[in-house]
Amino acid sequence: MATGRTVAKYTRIYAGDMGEPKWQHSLCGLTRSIGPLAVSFDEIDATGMCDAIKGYLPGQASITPGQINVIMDPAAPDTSGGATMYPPSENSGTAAYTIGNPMILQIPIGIRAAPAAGDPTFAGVFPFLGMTYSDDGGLVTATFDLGSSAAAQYIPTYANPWGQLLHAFGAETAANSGTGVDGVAATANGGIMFLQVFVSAGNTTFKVQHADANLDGSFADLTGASIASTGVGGYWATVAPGTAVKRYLRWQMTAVANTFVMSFIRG
Amino acid sequence: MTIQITDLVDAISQLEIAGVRVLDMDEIKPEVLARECPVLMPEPLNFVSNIIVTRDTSGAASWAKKTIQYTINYVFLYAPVGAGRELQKYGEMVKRAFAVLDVFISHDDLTVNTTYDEAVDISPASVTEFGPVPDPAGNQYLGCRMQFVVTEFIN
Repeated sequence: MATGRTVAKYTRIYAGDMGEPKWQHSLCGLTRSIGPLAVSFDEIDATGMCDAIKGYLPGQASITPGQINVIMDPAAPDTSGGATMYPPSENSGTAAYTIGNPMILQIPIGIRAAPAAGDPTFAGVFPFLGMTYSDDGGLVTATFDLGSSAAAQYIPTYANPWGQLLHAFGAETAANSGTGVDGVAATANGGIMFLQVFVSAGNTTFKVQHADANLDGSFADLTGASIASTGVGGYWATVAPGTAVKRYLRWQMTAVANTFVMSFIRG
Repeated sequence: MTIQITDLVDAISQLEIAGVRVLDMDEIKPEVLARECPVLMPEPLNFVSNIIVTRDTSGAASWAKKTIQYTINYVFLYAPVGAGRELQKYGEMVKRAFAVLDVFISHDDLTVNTTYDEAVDISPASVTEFGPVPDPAGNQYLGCRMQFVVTEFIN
C-alpha cells in the first residue's frame, strides 16, 4: 500500500442488502458524497464535587456511515459489482435495497490510486433507515440515510469501524499463495472480518490468515475468521476478543471463481 | 516529495492515443514534418503557466503539506494547412482532437504509467484555437491548443 495524502476519487463504496436480494454493488461511480464516516463515544460525566474541571469517561460507541448521496441511474440489473442504481419500486424505493434492512458497507480509501490490499477501510453493517429523492438542479438524486450499527446484524464486540483492505474488488479463481498486508504489529484482541461476494461460481469458504513473517509458508488460519459463502452476498465473522492476531494478514479461499472484496478490522 | 513535471510529461507521452504521436518534453520538434502528424506536443512557448502553491498545514517548509497546481499547454497538429481537401481534414482534426480529450478524461491520474504516482489529478482545462496553429518554425497546421490543469501534493 502507498502512503501519504489522497483525494476522494480513490474512494470505493461497496454496498449490499443483508436481506433479500443479496446483490452487492459498487456505488462509487454514482455517489456524490458519503459520510461523515463517524465513530463517537458517549461522554459519561465522572466529575467529583471538588474537582476544578470536569472529567469524563467514554461510554458506548456509535458508528455510522452517515448519508450516501447518489445519482439516480436506472439500468438493467447488474450483479457483477457494477455501478448500478435501480429505479424505485413500489415497496422499497429501489429494487436493490430495502428500507429497514441492514446494509453491509465496505469503503476502502485508495492512496492516490485505486484501493489496494493494505489500504484503510471503513466497514460495518448499518440499518437502512430511509431514502429521499430530490431534484438537484435538474438532476434526480437519492439520499440514503444509514443509522448506527444494525440491530439485526449486531456486532457488539468492537467499537472500531476502521481496518485494512485484504482483497480489493476483483476476481480470483484459486487459493492465495501470495504474501499479505502488514499490520505494523501483532495485536491481541481479535477483530472482525467483512466480505462481499459480487460474483460466485459456487459455495466457497473464505478465510483470513495471519503470520509473523510475510511468507506464503508462514500463513495459518486465524481462528474465527472464516465464512462459508453460499454465493453472492454480504458476510461478516468475528474473531473473539483476546485472540492473538499476528502482524501480517492475507485473504484465503477455496478454489472457486469469485469476485469479492474482503477487509479485516483488528479489535 | 518534489514536483514531478518531468515524470508527468513522460507519463503523458506514454498515453496511447489512436493515430496520434504524443511527444515528451525532450522530443519537441523545432519543425514538424507532415509525415509526423498528427502530433500532440508540449507548446514550447509558455509550456507551464498559472503555478500556484498552497500551504495546507503549518510547520517547517520541508515537511508541511502543500498543494501545487499548474497548467501545462500542449499544441495538437493534425495536418499541414493546404494538405488534401481542406474541409475534410478539418472535420478529421476535430474528431481526433476529441479522441485526445477522451483519453485524458479517462486517465485523470495517469495510472497508465506506474512510475508516476504523485499527480493527484490532471484534467482538461480548455481547448482553443481550432484552426490553423503554428509549429515552432512557424509552419501552419490544422490543429488546436490544449490546456491541462495538474494538481500535485508536496510532502
